[in-house]
Amino acid sequence: MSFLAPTLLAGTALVALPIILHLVMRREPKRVEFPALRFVRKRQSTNQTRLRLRHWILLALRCVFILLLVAALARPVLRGSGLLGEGSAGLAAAVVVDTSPRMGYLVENETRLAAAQEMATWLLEQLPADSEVALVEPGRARRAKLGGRDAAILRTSRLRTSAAGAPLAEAVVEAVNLVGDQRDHRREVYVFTDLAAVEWGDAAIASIGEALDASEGTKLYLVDVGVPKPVNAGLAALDLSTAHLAEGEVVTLRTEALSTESLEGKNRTVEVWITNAGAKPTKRGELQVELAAGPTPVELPIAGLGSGVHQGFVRMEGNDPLVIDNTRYFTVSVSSPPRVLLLAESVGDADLLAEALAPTALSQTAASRFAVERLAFDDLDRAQLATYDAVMVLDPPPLSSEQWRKLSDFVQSGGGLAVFLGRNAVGHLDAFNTPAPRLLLPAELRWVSSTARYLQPINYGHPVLKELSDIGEATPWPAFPVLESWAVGNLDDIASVVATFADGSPAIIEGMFGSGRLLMMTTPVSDRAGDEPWNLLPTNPEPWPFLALVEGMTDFLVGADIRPLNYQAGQVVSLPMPRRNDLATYVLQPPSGDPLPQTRSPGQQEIVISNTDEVGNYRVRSGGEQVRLDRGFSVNAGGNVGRLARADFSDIAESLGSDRVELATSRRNLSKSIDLGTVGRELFPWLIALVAIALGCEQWLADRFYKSG
Amino acid sequence: MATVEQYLKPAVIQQIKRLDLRAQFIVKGFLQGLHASPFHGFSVEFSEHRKYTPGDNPQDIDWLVYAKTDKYYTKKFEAETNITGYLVMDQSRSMAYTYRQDMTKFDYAICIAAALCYLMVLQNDPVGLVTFGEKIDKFLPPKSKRQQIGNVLSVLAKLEPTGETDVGKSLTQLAAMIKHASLVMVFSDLLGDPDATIASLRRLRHGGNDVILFHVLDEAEVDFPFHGLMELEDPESHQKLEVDADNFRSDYAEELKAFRDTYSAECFKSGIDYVPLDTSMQFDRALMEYLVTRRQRA
Repeated sequence: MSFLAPTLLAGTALVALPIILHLVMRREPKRVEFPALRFVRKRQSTNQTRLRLRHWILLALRCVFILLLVAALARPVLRGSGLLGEGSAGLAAAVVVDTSPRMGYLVENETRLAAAQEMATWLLEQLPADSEVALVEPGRARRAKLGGRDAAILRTSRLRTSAAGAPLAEAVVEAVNLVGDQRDHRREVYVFTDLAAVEWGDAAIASIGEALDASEGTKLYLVDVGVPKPVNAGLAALDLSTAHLAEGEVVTLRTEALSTESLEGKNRTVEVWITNAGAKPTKRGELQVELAAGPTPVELPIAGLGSGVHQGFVRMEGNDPLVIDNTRYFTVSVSSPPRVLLLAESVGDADLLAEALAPTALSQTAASRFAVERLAFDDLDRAQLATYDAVMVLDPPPLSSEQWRKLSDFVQSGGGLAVFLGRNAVGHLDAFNTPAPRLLLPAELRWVSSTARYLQPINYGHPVLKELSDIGEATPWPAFPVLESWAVGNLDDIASVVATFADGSPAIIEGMFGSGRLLMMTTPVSDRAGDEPWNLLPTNPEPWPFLALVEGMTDFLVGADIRPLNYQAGQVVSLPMPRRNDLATYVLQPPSGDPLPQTRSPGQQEIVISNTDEVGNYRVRSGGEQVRLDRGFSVNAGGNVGRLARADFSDIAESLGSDRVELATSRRNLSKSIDLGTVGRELFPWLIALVAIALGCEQWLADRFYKSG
Repeated sequence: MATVEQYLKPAVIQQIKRLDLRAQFIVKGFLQGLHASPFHGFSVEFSEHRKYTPGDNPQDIDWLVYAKTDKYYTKKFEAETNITGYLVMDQSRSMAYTYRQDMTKFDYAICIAAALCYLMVLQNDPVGLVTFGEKIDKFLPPKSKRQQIGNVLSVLAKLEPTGETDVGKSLTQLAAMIKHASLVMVFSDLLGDPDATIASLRRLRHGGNDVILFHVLDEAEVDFPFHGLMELEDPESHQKLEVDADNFRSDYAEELKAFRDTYSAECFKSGIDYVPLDTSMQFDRALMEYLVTRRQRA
């Protein structure tokens, strides 16, 4: 409740008038002589009480009359915001337009965004010209500023749906805070939304509620541009079994077919297409799906992909008003397995590790992740190390300086080297602490520690332990005791501990040399169970932590690219540069439009692409015909984009308070509620009616009261 | 004390005359309708026979004469030791009150008193006058001469009601003064302590007196014709009260009725005639009504 002419409220002081008149200028009663006063006296006290009561009623009626009259003249309005102070400086309004891909829903050949734009433009034109207006877009909310109305209209006309699909609630909160700072303004936030349940969940409403609490007096208008019963069928987010696969490996694409109730029971075809640049798109699979109320799982395997980057899409055929969720894009990278050389005292000593990295059982049916070769230390001299991606040295005896140098050169040029120390080093401390091996060993060897213990990494964040990071502390390391290990001196400055034993002594140490990668483990992985092993890591039953560990180590050493290739719109994408290259420029090809040539800055290790609003397959190439750089990634809209189920406004109103939020569905409706909010419902006629009643009562009572005989 | 000169003043004479005429008028009208005295003395002497005419009391028929003459004659009596009447007038200030009538309560009482005086003198009954306020003020001894009417009337005409009243005390005083059983006619508005008044009335009655209590009130005192906010002032005590008249009327009526009922009941118990009157009533008619009932009772 507020007043259009609050200054007139000063008139309430006039209420003193009847009170003064009542107290000072009491109307004189008519005086007559009356001898039979004794009859009067007996009943007089009750009459006097009644008399006094009537006096007070009369006074009260007069006061009420004046108060009502003053109130009526001050023109009170219900739920308006015309109170002096608030709104004295004008209107601060924020317009939030949902730009999620859902707003691309077509009705009568008009997208919901277009409808929202049209209504928002109209609304902005209705606002007073001196209003402070901001247009807030989800995902760009922090950039919004209050400014002129015309700028907001212009920006509204330029709105596009954004596949990034930033939460609407964040934008609303930002908008509420934005206008909330304008304490002396009337504050309104208009949200143009399709009221999708995914945007108006409990958490979203709660956060908006908190913002409204903090910015008291701010009014929220939800402008519903959605359709009451949306119709849609589409695909949920795509889930690839792996994005990086070895040659010959099969990739499985998993998704779910989603549909609204109205399409239940209909059949739709889901197709997989590979669309490599420069080649004709080829269909690689097809599936008939019967739409159901719930999500229907869809699984599409793709086999026979050659080496290189492959991009494509999964598409659900058939027309519906929302197109964006009918197609899901994907990118997979197929490469030949990295070559790993295992060096051991004898070739047989490398069996355990070789089996762990490339199981012989698997080699018959599918490609293994690594191409493993074994070699004895004696044969190191004639080995072509440059052809390998990583070398693993198992329980080395003292090697010659030349051998160490060969390994150093390999690492220097970008190779990965792991050294697993064991019993063969016992008694040769001096040989291992000489400068040649110390280039590659990140710490000085001290003695053999015979305390029984087990691995207990403190931090699973290192890439070596990435496969175990999900279970982390729950890994059953105590089941794999380490009986003996090398104790080491202080680590080199650039070295760091990857994993420790339970007593805190280092187990795996990462070093650095040249452009390669170095790992040193203080206990071997080649001891068999029979001959007094230093540890039971590879030999105890179910040695899956060992498998995960060595696979992680090998991945780290070969520099395997394990970054995802499939992103959600709006995420920042970073692609690694090849390790050995001298590329100066590259070209980014977005899903549509012209390729964007880019220059590589010196020392740049990765390509970062932050503008991923557009859905589709992106490709980065360099080197022209020779194709020295060819990478790609896919961007998809969020998995929720096709979920059009609507939220119930009554729930929203209940949570936020029906006095703070209002729903408008049409222009007329909007205009009405805004008028009501701006001017309020005038109470003048009601008050005047009450004034008349009060006056009537006063007259009647006074007439009865002072009737002359 | 009224002097002879005062009596001779034309205005006084005029007043007396008017009173006299008025009394005559009342009584004659009354007698024309009744032909019989409403008062019966204790002892009467036969004076003459008169031919019986319908309307006469058959008790008065002289059967001996009938036996001799075969005609109806009634006996006409003359009071020998006639009943002595006292007109007892309240002359307090409140009696001078009228709200909107021509006559004050006092005037009204005088008219009735004059009529009764005339009536009694006409029957050769001695009539005296007593006026009182807080105590007995004037006392005119009873006489049955025709002159007495003039005396009584001149005294009444000159009376100016002032001061407060104490009916009980005055009547008690009167009771002591009256030697023989008499007819005491009290004219008062009785606006005093009712218990004392009733006690003194009983005392009068116990003294063997026949008592008639004329309770004279102003029309306004009976009807309470006021409206709106009123401030009422007692002329005797000068006490003031503020009332909302419209609301109060019914309360007032109840209170008045209770007051009159008290007197009525008490008087009935003591064998006193209680005559409630107000100044809006035609006084001759009021008197006549009373006299008829009294005769019927006799």
